[in-house]
Amino acid sequence: MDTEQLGKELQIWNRFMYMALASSITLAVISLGNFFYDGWFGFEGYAGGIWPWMQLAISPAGFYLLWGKHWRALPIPDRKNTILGFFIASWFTFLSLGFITVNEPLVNFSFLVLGGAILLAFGYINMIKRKSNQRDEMFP
Amino acid sequence: MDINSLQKRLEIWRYILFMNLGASLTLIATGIAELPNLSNSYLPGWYGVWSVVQLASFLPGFVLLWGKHWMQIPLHERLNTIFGYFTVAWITILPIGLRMGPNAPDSFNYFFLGCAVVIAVAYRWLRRRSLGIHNEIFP
Repeated sequence: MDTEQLGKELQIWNRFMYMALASSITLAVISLGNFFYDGWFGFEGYAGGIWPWMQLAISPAGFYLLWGKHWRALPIPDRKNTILGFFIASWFTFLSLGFITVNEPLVNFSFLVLGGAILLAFGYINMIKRKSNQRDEMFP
Repeated sequence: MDINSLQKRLEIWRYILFMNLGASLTLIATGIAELPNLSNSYLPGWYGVWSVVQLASFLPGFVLLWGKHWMQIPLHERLNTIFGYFTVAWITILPIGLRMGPNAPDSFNYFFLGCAVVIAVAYRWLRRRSLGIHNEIFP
C-alpha cells in the first residue's frame, strides 16, 4: 500500500480514535458513580459486558498502528498522535475497570493505572526523541 | 471571522461529532448492559452524563445551522456535519428508552420515531435547498 493511501486510511483511524476516546471517558465517568453508590450491582453487567469489549477494541488498534507491517511505510511522527490517542483511550477504559471493581478489588488497580499512565508518557517521549535522533542522522 | 478560520473550526466540529458519537454509543451499551436488571437499576450520575452528551449533540447542530458567522460557509458544506449532530442527538434518546424498557410509554416511542422522520425530511429539504434544486417543472 502506498503512503498516500495509508494517509487516507489513517484519517479514518483518527476518527475511530476520537470515538474511542470519548467512549472510554464516558465509561469512566459513568463508572465513577460506583464510588458514590456502594451497593451497585453494575460489576456483572459492566465488567462482564462492556468493559472487555471496549478494551479489546481499543488497545489492539493502538498496537496495530504502532507495529502493523504495512503501517511501517508511514513515518511514526505522522501516526504518533493517533497511536497515543488510542493508548490514552485504552488507559481510560482501564481506569473505568478500576472504578467498576472498586468495591471488590481484584488487585490493587491504582498501581496498574498509575503505571499505565507513566508508561504512556515514557512511550510518547521516546517516540519524540527517536524522531529528533533521526533528524540528527540526516545532517550529522 | 474569516472563512478560512471558519473552515478550520468546522473541521474541529467534525472531530467533536465523532467524539459525541462514541459517547452516545457507550450510553447505548450501558443501557443494554442494564437490561437484565431493569427492575432495580440505579446508576448514580448516568442521567447527568446523558444530559451532557445530549446537549453536546443537540446544541452544536443548531449553532452550525443558524449561527451568525457560520452563515458565511455555504450550507451544503456544513449540512452533513449539522445533521450528523442531530442524528447523534437522536441516537442519544435511545438509551433512555432502553432504561425505561417495557415501561416506555407510547408517547416516547412516537416522539422517538417522529424525531427520525423530522430529521430525515429536514435533511432532504435543506439539501435540495442548499444545492439549488427546486421543484419547478417549467423553470
